Amino acid sequence: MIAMTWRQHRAQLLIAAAALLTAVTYLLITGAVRASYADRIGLTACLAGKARDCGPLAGAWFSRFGGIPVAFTLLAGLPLLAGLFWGAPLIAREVETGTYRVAWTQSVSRTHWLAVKLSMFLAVIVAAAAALSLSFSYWFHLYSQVSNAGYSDVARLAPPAFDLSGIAPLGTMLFAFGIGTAAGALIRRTVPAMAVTLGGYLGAILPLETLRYTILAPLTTTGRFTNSSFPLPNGAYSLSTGYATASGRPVPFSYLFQVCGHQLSGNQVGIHLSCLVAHGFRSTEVYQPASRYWPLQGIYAGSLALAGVALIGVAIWWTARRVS
Amino acid sequence: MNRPDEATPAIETIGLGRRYRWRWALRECSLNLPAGHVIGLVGPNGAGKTTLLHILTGLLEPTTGRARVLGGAPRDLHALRRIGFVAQDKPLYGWFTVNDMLRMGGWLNPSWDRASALAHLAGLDIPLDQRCGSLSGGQRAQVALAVALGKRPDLLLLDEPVANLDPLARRQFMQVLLEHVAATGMTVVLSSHLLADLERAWDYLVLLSASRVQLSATTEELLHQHRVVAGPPEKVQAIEAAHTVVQSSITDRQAHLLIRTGGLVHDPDWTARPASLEEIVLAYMSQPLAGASPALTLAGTAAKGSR
Repeated sequence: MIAMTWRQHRAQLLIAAAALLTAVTYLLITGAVRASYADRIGLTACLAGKARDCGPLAGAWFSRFGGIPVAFTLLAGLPLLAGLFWGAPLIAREVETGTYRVAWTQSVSRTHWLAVKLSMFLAVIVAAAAALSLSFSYWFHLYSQVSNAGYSDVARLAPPAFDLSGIAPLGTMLFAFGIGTAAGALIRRTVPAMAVTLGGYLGAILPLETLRYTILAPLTTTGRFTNSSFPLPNGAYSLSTGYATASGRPVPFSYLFQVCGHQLSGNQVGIHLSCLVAHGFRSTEVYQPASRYWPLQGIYAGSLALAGVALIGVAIWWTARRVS
Repeated sequence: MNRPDEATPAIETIGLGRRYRWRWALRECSLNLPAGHVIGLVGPNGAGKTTLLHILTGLLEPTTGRARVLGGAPRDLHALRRIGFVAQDKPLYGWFTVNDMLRMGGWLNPSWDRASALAHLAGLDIPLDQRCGSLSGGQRAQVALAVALGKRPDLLLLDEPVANLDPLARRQFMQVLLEHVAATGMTVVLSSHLLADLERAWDYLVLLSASRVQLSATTEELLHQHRVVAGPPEKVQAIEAAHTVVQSSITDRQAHLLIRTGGLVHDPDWTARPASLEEIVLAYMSQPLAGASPALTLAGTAAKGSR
C-alpha cells in the first residue's frame, strides 16, 4: 500500500519538494548574506556584547537589507497549497474518476487504504513545516535579535514572521490539509472541493490573523516621548498606538503634525522628536510582549492543528461509512 | 488457493434493497446463487444491476436486507480477497502505465499472480509501457480483466464488461474469459442490459427488472419450465388456473401464451412448443410487474433444486 501511495502521489510530492527546496535554498542563501554582513560591520559582536549602543550599526544593516519583503506574505500562503493540491483531490479524485471501484475492491480495506495515504501526507507535512520554519528562523534570526535589543519593531511576533516561524506552519498546513481532505470526502468532486478549501481556509485564517493577538489580553503602556525611544518594550508587537497631550486629552496622530510638523523635501512632512518631548506628549501602546511568543504560537497553531486533525477524522469516518 | 465449498452459495442475499434519496434502485432482492456457474445478470438500464454488484463488493451499504458473498460479509477482507471485480467503464488510473496497474495488483493483493496477468496481456499484444489513459476500449477491458484475474479470485464480478466494445473486441474478451473459467472453475457473474451481449456464455440467469428479481434459474430449468402454447381464446382461463401466464397475446381467433408450466398441457385444443431463452427473457422483461411475484417463488425453488 505504501508503494501504491507513492506511485499515485509521487508527482504531487516531487513538485512540492522542488518548490520547498527552492524556498529553503533562497532563505538559507539570503540569510547567510545578511549574517555575513552583520559579522563584517561588527553588528553581531555588538549585539552579543550588549555594552555599546548598537543603534548606528543596526541602522546601517537595516538600510542595506530593509525589513521583511512583501513577497514573504506569499510564503505564508504555502500551507494553503497542502489543502488545495494534497487534501482536496485525495478522496474526491478517486470518486470522480471512478477509480475508487478499483482501489477499494482489492485486498485492502478502505480504512487501511486511507490510513496509509493520510500517514504519508501527514509525515510529509511535518517535514515540510519543519523545513520552512527552521529555514525562515535562520533567515530571521538577526531581525529577531535587533528587535529584542530594541533597535527595530520587526518582531517575530508580527506577521508574517509569526506565520513562518515556530509551529505556526505546522498548524496552518494541518488545518488546510484537513479542510481539503474533508471537503473532498464530502463533496466528492475535486474542483468544488478545492473552491471550498480556498474559501474555508481564508475565511478562517484572515480573521484569526488579528484575533490571535487578543486571545491573551494585550498589555498597555503609557509614557511620555523621550529623546531616545518610543515607550514600546523591546521585541513587542504593537497592536495599536494612541496619543495624548500632557494633560491626558487623547488626540489623533495628525494633531502631532499640526503642532510639531515641519516640511521635508517635496511634499513629505516630518516630526521633530524634540518638539514632542518639549510639549510633553504621551503615547499609549497596546501590545503583546516578546515573552508571549510561544504561548501565542501554542494557542494559535495548536488550535488550528486540532481543527485539522478533527477534519481528517471526519473525512475518515465519512469515507468508511458513507462514500458511494 | 482454496476453492469455495460447493455447498456454500457464491452469493446469498435476503431482502436486499438500496434506496437513493427518492428512488429504490434495488428492492426485496433475495438470491441464492450456486458456485461454479457463469451467471448472467440481465436487466434493462436502471434495473439495479450495478447497485447489486456494488453491494456485493462492499462499495455500497444496503438500505435493507443483507448479503453474503462466498460465505462472508461483502466488506469482510476474507471475502474481498477472493473477489475479482471489473466495474462498469473499466476504471483504470489514466496516468499509470499498464505495468503500473499490474504492479498495483501485486501491492494490494497477497494472492497476486503476476505471471498469469502478464501472459494474458502478452497474448493480446498490449504494450506494458503504455499509459492506461491512451488505451482503446477493448484494451482497457482486457487490462481491467487482467488485474481482476491476477488476483486469482474464486468469484469474478463483471459489470457490463462488453458494453461499448466492438464485436471483435467483445468476442476476444469473452473468449479469454471463458478460457480462464474453464481452467479455474471460478464462479462468474456477468451483467448486461442486452442478453445477446453475453453470447450464451452463461448457464445460470438472473433477470432484474424495475429494481426487482424477476427470474433466477439455470438454463435447463428455464427451458424445462416454460412453454409457448397456442389455442382458443375462450379457454385461456383454464390455462391460467393450472399454469402461470407470463405473457399473452390474444386475438379473436387465437391466444398465444408464454407460460411457466404447472405440469403438462393436456387439452388437445392447445398446441405447445418449447420456448427459446430469448423468448422467455423478453417475456419477463416486457411485463415486469406481471411476472414479479411468482418469479420470486421460482427464484426460491430454483435455488433449492439446482444443487
